[in-house]
Amino acid sequence: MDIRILAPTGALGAGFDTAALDRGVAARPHVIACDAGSTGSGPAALGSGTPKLSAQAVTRDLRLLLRARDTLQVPLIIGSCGTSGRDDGVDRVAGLARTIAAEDNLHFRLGLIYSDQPAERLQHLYDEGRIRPLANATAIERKLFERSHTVAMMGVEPIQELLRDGYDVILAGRAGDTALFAALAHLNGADPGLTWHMAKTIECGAACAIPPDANGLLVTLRDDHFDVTTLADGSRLTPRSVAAHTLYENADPFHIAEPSGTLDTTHATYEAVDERTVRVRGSRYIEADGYTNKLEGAELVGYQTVIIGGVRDRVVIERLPELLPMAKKYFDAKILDVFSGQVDPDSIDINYRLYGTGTVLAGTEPTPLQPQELGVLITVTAPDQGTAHAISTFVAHASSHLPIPE
Amino acid sequence: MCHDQHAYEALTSTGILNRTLFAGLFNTSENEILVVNHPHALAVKVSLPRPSVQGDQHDSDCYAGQQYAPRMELQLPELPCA
Repeated sequence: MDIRILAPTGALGAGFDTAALDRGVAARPHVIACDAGSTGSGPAALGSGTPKLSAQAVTRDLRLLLRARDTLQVPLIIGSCGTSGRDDGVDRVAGLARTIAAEDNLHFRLGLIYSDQPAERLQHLYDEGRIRPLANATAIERKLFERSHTVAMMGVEPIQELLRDGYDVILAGRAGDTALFAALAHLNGADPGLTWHMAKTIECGAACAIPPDANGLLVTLRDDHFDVTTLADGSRLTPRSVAAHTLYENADPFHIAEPSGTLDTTHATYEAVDERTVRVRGSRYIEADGYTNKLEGAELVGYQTVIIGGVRDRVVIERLPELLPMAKKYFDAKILDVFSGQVDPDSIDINYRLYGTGTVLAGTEPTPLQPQELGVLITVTAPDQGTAHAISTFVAHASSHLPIPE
Repeated sequence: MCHDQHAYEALTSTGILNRTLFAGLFNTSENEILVVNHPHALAVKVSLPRPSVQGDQHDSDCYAGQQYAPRMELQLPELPCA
C-alpha cells in the first residue's frame, strides 16, 4: 500500500507559496485536504456566522487548490468551512467554489456535508441521556440548546460516504482536522494507528517544520510506516520536530481522542530519512466502546461597544482599585436616569481591563506588577447595540473626566 | 522544551517539574495538573483546566497561550554537567 496525502496549508485562507503547492502536486497525491476552521479565537464565528478570514483570502487559496485538484483529478476535501463549520459557512465556501469554477472553466462534482444541530434534536438526545459535558466544561441544561447555535464535529464517516460516491470536491461543516486527512486512507483499509498519527502530524500544515511555516506537508502512508515531507523551500523536518507536534492542541501527547477511539503514540518511533523527511512507525489506535461527536455551541450574551484609553499618572494608577467601584455606582444611577428606568443596570456589563496590572493572567501573577503606565480597555455589553453605544458615551466621558476625591 | 538530550535528562531526573509545584504556582489542586514527559520531543508538557471558558465574556487570555509566562523566571537547581 502506498497512499499519498497532500496538506497544502494549515488553514484555507491563511495562504501558502505556489512553489510549495507545485512540489506537492508533482508528488502525485491521491487526495488534497485542508482545514478551514478554528475555535482558537473564540465563539464569535460560530455564534454570528461571520468567518474569521476574508472571502478574498479564501478565494485565493481555494482557486489554487481547485486547479491542483483538476490537474491531478483527485478529491479535494475541505473541513470546518467558514471558520465554524456552520451550514451557512459551507454554503459560503460552496458559493466561492462555484464562482471560481465558472471563472476558470473547472468542472467537478461538488458534495456538501452539513453539521448544524437543531435545538429539538439536541433536546431529544439530551432527554435520552446521550449528551454529557466534557471534562472541565460547565454544566449543560436543556434550555441552553434553544439559545445556542450548535454544530457537531464529524469524524471520517460522512466524508468517506461522499468519497465512495465519487464526489470530487467535498466541503464539510464542522469536522475534526484529522478526519479530513484520515478519510481516504481509512476507506482504503490502511493501518488505523498510522492513519490517525499521519493525520495528526499534517493537520496544521507545516507547523511542525523548522522553521514553522504556513506551507504544506506531504505524507506517504505505507503498510508499516509513514513518511512525512515538508514542501517549502528552506524548510526542514527532524524526528524531534515531528514528535513534538503531538504536543500541539492536546493535553496528553500520547493519547489523542477521536470520535471513534484514541490514537496512542506511546511506542511511536521517529527517524530521519533526509533533511526534509521523517519516517514514523509504531503508533496504535484503540477503538472506543462507543462513538462520540463533540458538540460546539455559542450563545449570544449581548452587543458590545469598547473604549480604549491609557493612564500615566501614578496617583490615578494607585487609586483605581477604589475609584472603579465608585464609577460602577455612578453608572448604575446614570443608566436609570438617562433611560428613565427603561434599562435595568443589572442587564448591563461594564468591565474595566487594566493592562499592566496582571489582567492577562487574571489572578495568577506570582508577584504584583508595578506598572508606570496602564492600557485600559473598557467593554460595555448590553442587550442591544444602540444601548451599548449610548452607555459607552457617558462611560467614556466619565472615565476621563471624573475628579479624584482628595 | 530542552535544547539537547543531556539537558532533558538532567532536568527530568531532578523530578522538580511535578504536580505539586504547578498546583502551587497556579493556585489549584494537584488533581487538576497533568505533567507528561516526552523524550522524543525533549519536552515536558504541563496542562491544567482554563480559569474561564474560552472566549467567555471576561476571558482575558483567549488562546490560553500566555499562562506559562511567569514560569520563565522559575529558578532551577544546578543541573549536573555532561
